[in-house]
Amino acid sequence: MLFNQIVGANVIKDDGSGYEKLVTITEADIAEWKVEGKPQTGRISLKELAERGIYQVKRAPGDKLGFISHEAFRKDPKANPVKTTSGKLEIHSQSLANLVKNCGWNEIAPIPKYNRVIEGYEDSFKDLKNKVKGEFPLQLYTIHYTRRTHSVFDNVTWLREAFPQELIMNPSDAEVRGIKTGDTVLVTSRHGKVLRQVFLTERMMPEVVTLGEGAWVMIDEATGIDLAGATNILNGAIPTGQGHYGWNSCNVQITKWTGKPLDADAKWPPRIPLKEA
Amino acid sequence: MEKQLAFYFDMSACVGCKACQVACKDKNDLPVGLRWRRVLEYGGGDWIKHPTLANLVVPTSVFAYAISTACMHCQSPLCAQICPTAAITKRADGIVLVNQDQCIGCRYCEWACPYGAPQFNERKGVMTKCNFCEDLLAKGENPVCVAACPMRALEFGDLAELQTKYGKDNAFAPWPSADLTRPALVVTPHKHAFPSGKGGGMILDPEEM
Repeated sequence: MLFNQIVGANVIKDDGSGYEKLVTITEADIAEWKVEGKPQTGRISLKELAERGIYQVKRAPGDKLGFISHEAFRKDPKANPVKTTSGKLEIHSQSLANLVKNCGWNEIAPIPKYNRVIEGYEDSFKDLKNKVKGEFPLQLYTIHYTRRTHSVFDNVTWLREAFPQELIMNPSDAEVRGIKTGDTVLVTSRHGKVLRQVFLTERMMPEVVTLGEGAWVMIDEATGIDLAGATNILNGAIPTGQGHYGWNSCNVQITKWTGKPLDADAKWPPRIPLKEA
Repeated sequence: MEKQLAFYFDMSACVGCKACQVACKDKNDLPVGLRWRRVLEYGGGDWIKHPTLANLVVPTSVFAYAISTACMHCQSPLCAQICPTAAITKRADGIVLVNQDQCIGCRYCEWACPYGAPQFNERKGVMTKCNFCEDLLAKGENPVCVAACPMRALEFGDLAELQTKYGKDNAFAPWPSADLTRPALVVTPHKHAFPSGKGGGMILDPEEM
C-alpha cells in the first residue's frame, strides 16, 4: 500500500510542462521492501525519502511553476468574461447574497463586510456600548484536538494521557477567577455545563478560551454536568447557511469548581463501545 | 570510553505531537503515569494594552516551544552514582540501564536525576527508565521514538559523530545546565529557545514532568 503510493508519487517538472516520478526505486529496494514491482527513475532515492519524510519543490522568482488564476480574463476581460451576472469579478454580488438567503438559514450582505456572530464577541457584553461584560463574558471557540480525530480514538488511554482535553485560557483570565493550571473548573454557557481541568498559556488571547471538540459525553446524572468536556454540550443548535457556524463557538463563564476535582481522563475506566452495546 | 550513544533533538522542528511518547509507551507497554519519553511545553510572554485603541490588548513576546525528553544516558549519570545497590550501570556503549532484580525501589535516582528519567513502577516496586531500545539496536533497528517522529526531529548515534554533524548545544530551558550530568544529547534550538537557567518562561504542563 505505502509502496504503491511511493511508486505513484509524481512531482512537477522544472519547466512546468508536466509531471515526473518523484522516487527512484532500485531492484535492491524492491528486495528490501519484500514487494513486487519494477525499478524506476525519479528525483530522489527511496532512502532519502524515508530519511527526510518530505520532499519540497524548490521555488524561485521567475521559475516556470507559477499559475495565474483567470489568466485569460485578466488579459482581456471583455473577450473572456467570468461566469458571473456582470461577467466581472464581483465585489458586490447579489447572486451570492441570494444563494445564501435561498438556503433559508441566514442572510449576508452582497458586499464583504463584518457579520455579527451569534454568541460571539458582541454577545459577551451586557452593555456593548460601555463595554460592560455580561453573564457569559468569555468567548469559547472549539478546536480539532490533538488527542483524536473529531470523536474517533477518544477512548485510547495513551492518547488521553498525552492530551488531557484541557480547557485552554490566558493566565490573566485565570488570575481574576483564582484559577491555577490543573484546577478543575466549571464551564457554563447559555446551553449547558461541563467540567474540565485548566491549561494556562499566553498563546491564548485574553477573554477567549478554547476546548477541543469531539470528547465522549459523560453526564453526571446527579448534576446534569458533562464531565468529559464535550463542546456540543456548551454550543447551541444555531443554524447558519454561510460564514460563521453557530455550533462551533459560544459565550461562557468559567468558575473554579468547589466540588470534587476531576480525575485525569487517563485514569477513567476505558469505554469500549462494542462491549457497552 | 570508546563510544557514547546519544540522542539528537531538533527542537526547531518539534511540533509537540507526542508521537515519540506514545510510540515509547506502546513498545514498552507502559502503564499510565510512566513516560520514559515525554514532551513538555515551555512558554511565556504577556499581553499589553494597545497603545492607542481602547479595550484592545496585543501580544508582546509571546512564545512557546516543545521539548521531547527521555533519559539522556549521561556521561556522568547522577542516578548511577547515587544508587545504593549499584542497580544502575552504564554500559560500554554509554547506555544507562536499571537492573530491576537489584533495584530496591528507594527512588533516590528519581530524586537525583534533573531530567525526570528514572520513573517508579508502583506495581512492580522498582525503577524503570528509557533503555535506548537496546533490543531494537541489537537487531539493527532504530529506537521507536526516533522511528515514530513524523517531523524527523529525533535521531540517535555516537555522541562525537552527532556533535560533528550538529554542534555541541545541549542546554536549553527548562533543562538544567549540562555541567550537572554531561548529558549525551545534541540539540538544534528553537528560534525562541532560552539557554538553561535563563528561561523567560515556564513549563506550561507541570503534570508532564
